[in-house]
Amino acid sequence: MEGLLLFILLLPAILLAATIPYLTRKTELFGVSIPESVSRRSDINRMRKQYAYRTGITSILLTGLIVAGHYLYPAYLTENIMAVIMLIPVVVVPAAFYIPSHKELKKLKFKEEWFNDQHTERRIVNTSFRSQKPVYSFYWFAIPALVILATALLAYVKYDSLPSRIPTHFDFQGNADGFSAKTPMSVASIPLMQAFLLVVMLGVNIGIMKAKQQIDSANPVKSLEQNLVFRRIWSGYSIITSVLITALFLMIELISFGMFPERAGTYISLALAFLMVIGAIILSFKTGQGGSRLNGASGKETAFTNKDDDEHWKGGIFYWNKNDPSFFVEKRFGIGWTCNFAHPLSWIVLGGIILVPILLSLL
Amino acid sequence: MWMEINFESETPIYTQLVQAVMKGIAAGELKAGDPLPSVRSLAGDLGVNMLTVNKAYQQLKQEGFITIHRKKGAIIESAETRAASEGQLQRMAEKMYPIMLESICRGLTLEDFQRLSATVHHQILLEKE
Repeated sequence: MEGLLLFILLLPAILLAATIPYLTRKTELFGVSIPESVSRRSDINRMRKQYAYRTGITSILLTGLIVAGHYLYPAYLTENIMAVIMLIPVVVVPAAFYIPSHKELKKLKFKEEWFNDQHTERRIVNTSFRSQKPVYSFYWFAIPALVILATALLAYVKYDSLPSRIPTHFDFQGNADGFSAKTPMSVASIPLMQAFLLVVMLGVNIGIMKAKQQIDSANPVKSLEQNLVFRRIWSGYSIITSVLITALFLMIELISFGMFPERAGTYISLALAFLMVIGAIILSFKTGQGGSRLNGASGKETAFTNKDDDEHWKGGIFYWNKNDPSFFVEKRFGIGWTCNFAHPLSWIVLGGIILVPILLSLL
Repeated sequence: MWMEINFESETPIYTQLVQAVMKGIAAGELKAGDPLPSVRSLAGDLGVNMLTVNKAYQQLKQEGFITIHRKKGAIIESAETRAASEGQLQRMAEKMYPIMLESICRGLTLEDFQRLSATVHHQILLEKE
């Protein structure tokens, strides 16, 4: 049962991963910056198609194998192992096909000298960009904050009446299969986790607001409009997921206090997870990276092209630019933003995101 | 307001920034009291070192086109403050000297030159988005 659910959840994610080449900005592909005219060429389109089919089919087959393996050998392919192995079709396979595509495109760019004859490279920015409300108000985060407060209050009020061992892990049927001793720390771990995730989502919203302006020089007015809508959409998504995740944790607390049916809880958790993943995927297809698939206000086309930033994009995936004070920049091959790894904050944030949940789980 | 930077130009980037702000003021897009982005955010958006943007802002401040508040950041100065002082008029005349030299050497009369000036003047004032 859970294998099938996993398959259903992974399929859209694989679909997204396989079709990224169609969702990037028109001036970028496989982590290489290209002229827009090249982007429309048939040989380039063939590269996109090849990547999509190879990634899609390989990932789906692999996922099928893993799910079958889980059915046949449930003792070996446990839930925890599955969670790790699932990374292979969703992350490793696309990466494996990305690398040769990236190299091939880079070689082609060098051979055909796509940018060498042009003196049309400009970087165009708008000084009033951030005063045009790129993200939704931070006051929206008061909603999940109130839920956290309620969660913490409930834990405080009910603490004494709880049994000395509380259920903290449930299987897919909703039956409790893991318990912890009741201590102030173990009970506080849920509100603490909620608070940590709220901080992360707040950080995401701040990041989206401050992220580097990346405007296509070929049509700056349209690009600006698209990018503002793009940022707002993902800002909204971060707020909604923040509310949903916080509510989810409240429900988990209620279940472990025996105040909410476990079975229903399992279904709700799965439904919410599904909703958030599918939501992200649908939005990704709708917006395209940077809003490139959105209908922007028609702007005047210029004769300019974007500045070639290839040197700062290591492998076309990792941005490293010491001279750029930006922390958040748009991904080159994907939807959303990535960090400037030359910025020390990137390492602090990454470290925090990895360490804090580990520390919380040890409580 | 739009700003356009050419990384391959002979004109240094900070000079391009100074001219971009001045163009904004000249075209009426930037009015007295309007804010400019912070050094950090503009440097980030352009992908240049903060020192470069800082240099441009410092020059604009020295010329009296902007003022830099500790909290509010860079603000466009009022028309009165921007008005040419004796020293600034003299410096403008000095900058015009080589152009006038070329003009005379190439046989332009004063009227020809004035006509040329008018063209450039119109070009700037008409260059709005």
